[in-house]
Amino acid sequence: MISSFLRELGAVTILGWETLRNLLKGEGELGEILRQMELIGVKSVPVVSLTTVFAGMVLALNTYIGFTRFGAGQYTGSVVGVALAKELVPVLAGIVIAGRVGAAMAAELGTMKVTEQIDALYTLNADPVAFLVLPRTVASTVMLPVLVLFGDGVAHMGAYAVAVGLMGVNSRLYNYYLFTYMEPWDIAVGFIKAVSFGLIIALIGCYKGLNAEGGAEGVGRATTSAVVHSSITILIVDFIWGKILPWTLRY
Amino acid sequence: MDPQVLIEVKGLEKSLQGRKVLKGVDLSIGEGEVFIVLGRSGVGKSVLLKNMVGLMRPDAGRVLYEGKDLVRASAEEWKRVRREFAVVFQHSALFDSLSVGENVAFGLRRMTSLSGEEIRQRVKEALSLVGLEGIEEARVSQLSGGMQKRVAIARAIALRPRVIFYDEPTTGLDPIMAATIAMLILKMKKEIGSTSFIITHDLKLAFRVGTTLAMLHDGRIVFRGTPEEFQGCRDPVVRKFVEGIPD
Repeated sequence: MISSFLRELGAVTILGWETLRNLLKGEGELGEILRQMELIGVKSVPVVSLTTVFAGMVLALNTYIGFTRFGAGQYTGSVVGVALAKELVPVLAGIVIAGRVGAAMAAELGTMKVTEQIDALYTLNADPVAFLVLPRTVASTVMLPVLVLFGDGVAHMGAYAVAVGLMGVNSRLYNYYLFTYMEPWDIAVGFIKAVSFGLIIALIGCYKGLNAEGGAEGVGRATTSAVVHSSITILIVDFIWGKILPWTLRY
Repeated sequence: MDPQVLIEVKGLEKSLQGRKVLKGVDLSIGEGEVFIVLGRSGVGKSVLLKNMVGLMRPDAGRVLYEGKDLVRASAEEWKRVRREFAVVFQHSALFDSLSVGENVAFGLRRMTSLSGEEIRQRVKEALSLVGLEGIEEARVSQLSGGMQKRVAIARAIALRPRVIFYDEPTTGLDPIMAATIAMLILKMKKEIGSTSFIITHDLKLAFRVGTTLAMLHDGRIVFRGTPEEFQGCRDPVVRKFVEGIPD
């Protein structure tokens, strides 16, 4: 199992390197990159909104309930703000996008693989990495941070609505503690994480698709595996960032 | 007199998942020939074709194109060779995210310096040659299997290749469509003068269009000759295949 994990990690890293090499050579069609940005970014807005607004609401609710036990209910905004920006929104958006976009990439490329469309690309002098992987990777890496910033806003609105509207926290105190204790770095950390999650989702989704074998069953396996592996990798990388970023950014 | 040899396969070996599929295949294909490789399903015909067009790398042996060994060719050399090769895949392999016209134009955009107008003209001509005028805007999913096969042939001939490789071109088609595809293969040879390399188990197609027939069995070529010689061959493996005798 460990050797298979290391082998796949190596193969995905090589795919990432090939993608970067093609990007530096100026490969990849702008029109296709923009189309993927729309598919990955714009069309994911509803699902990211729903996920993050409820994440904000439930976090605010439970934080308030916990804090009022020792009389600190008015501090809800500070903890909720930091937790949403640094952890919850990037991770939840990453996992939701892995399910929506990573799965779609694996299924699309997997179908192309088993129906010989990938072979056809080679015979027509089109490198599948430049033609398929690069636009998806660029679009995912650019759009996930944008979705996370958007999700931050939506999640905070949900948290504010519950804390102030439902639980009765003073509006001015909520905002005061939110802006006093939440720093720009908290949002930057979420942004940096989102860039890496976007890269992970696209590379794993494309790798699984390009290596699908065995007809419809193989495509199904590739799709499931893309979502599972992306989600686990996101959680592992989130922890690694959690250890590295405080040290590198000195916050 | 034998036509000038264009492609030679020498001692080609390939194993897949621990099983030796090709055990030393030798072939020589002359310029302008319609060369057919026959064989039972799963005998390794597609593996042979994929090794010849660079989609697989053989374990041993050589594939010579005009005397140059393609097995050791660089990526740049393959790019040049692929301008002269075209492949029609078993399941057509059309890009379903593109329209019919974009599919036919795909190779032209990537491998030629033709202008947009010239590409449009070439696409129109190619579709007209396969009897599918005016469907440039159609989506691939709207086409029947036979039409998809013809679009795949149009995509191949739009590049005016020197060699067209066909992988099971009549599989899954009704007899009339299979006959139409056979006529198209002959028409392509006449109109653009391409050499054709066809792998199939369709004997009707082989006798209809083939100038040379070869039979792949147990990883080796066990017969090579004209369609008449194939029909008269007394080799038990060939007889069993021709007469469709079960195991």
